[in-house]
Amino acid sequence: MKTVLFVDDERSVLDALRFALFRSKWKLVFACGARAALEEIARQRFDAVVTDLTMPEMDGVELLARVRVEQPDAVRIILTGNIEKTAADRARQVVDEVLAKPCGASVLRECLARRLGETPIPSSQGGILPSPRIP
Amino acid sequence: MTVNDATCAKLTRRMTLLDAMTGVAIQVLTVAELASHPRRMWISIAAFFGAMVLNVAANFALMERWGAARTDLMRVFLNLPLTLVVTHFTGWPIASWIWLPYSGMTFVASRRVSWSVLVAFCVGTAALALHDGVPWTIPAAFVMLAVVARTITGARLGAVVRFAEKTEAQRAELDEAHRKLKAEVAARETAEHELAQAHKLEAIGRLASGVAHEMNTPLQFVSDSVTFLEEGTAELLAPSGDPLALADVRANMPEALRLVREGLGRATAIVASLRELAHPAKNRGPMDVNHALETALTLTKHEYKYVADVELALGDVPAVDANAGEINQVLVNLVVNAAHAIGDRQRGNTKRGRIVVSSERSGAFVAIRVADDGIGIDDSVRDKIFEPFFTTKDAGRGTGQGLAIARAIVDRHGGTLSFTSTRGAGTTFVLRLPCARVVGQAA
Repeated sequence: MKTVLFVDDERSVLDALRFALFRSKWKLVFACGARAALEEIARQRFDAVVTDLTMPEMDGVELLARVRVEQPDAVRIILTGNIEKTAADRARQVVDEVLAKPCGASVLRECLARRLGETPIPSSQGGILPSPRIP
Repeated sequence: MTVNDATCAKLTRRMTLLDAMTGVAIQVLTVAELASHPRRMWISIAAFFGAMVLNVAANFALMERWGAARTDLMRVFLNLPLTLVVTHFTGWPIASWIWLPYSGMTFVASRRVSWSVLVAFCVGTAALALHDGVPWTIPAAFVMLAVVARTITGARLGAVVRFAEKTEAQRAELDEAHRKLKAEVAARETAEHELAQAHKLEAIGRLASGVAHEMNTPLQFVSDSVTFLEEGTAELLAPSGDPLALADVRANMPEALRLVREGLGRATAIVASLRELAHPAKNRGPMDVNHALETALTLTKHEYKYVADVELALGDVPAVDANAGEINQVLVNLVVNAAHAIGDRQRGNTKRGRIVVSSERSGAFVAIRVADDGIGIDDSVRDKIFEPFFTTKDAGRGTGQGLAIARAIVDRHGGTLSFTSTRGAGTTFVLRLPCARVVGQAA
């Protein structure tokens, strides 16, 4: 079973992600803030890390830079509500994928499945329009 | 009438008088010499009066229109033929040796006094008079003196006129410079206005990007929660659901709904705050300062939430008479500055800062304080922070317009915007706005 770490400084975002991915076959780990994320990374191996960009103490880019060193095989994804282009450009250097908030659950699921080398899960519930990825 | 005009008139009168005296003296000499030739005498007298009239007319009429130099040149041309006529018909030498040089002298003198020419003229005339053995050497000397006096007067007048002309030219130059300066000032004002507009747009752009960020977070968890609720409902409605998944769905549904409500509440608050900021620019009226402060804090949350905690100490204050949109702009500016000041102090250190926002009544004013424990304002820039375009911020973080515009807005409201700051310890901005007059209140 693949393990995915989600990092955000907002508890609500993590809770909602947990709900939205309740039928996924991955093991989901949630860390509120970069510090908690680093502890999780030290504790176990992850196949993918999905993190917020703007966080206090340490931002997503710094966090993923650490992930690249400590777990180079992990897929690195940024999920950000920051619409400034410079932030996204900076992120692109250390990440595999940049997703813009709000990002529909199906988009996130497909992205993760593709990055983890699995067949994309067909999304039966289109519900929310998938938001375009930051170009 | 200026001093110059008065001097010109005085000197012109004196010159005319001297001309008349010279003329009378010459005439006396003429009559004395030509007493035995009545016809010649009358011609000479007629020519003299003609010259007198022309001279006086020239002095009073032409001087004003043409200036000294051209008037005197004109007089030479007037006197020359008269002199020739008198000399031809009278055969009288005094006319030639006084009138001709005299005319020339007035012309020369009015442009530039040439003392050597003057002396040469006097000596030459005296020598000629002695050589001719004219018996009226003394009256002739008197004429000479009058001529000298007239020449000096003419010179002074010329000087005055030249000075006046120069002054006039300088004034024209000054006027031109003044006009150019005014045009430049106007152009500058236009440019400043445009920059202020650009700054406002930039501020709105920055705000928009921050607000988008703030909106995206609740949208994200609302979206995920709704996905869960949809899929969970489908699971519940399915004839044979997976019991484990069903239990999960049942357990989490209330929390998912709470998240939806929370997210919608946050988005609503942000949109409401934006509406406050976009308040029509013209309307001024009673404004609730405390509400405005809460709005400003909602809108700027993305600027301070990573660096500082905010403490609100709102007093029971009366409404102020203000344009809500403009004052919101000022408050947003002060809070953003406080957050930036704390952010600057925090480089290389993660201690969270504190922003204290308070309001209280102070006489006929409401005093609003925005205090931060940020980097503080350096003594060297204290006097400059309200100047347009002054900034210590990096490019892209501020154009140095915010406080200049804030002060302009506060001035328009009859309020004050001041600050106290200690380098490294923090800054407190104090905004004082006049209370709104309560209409219909019993005296």
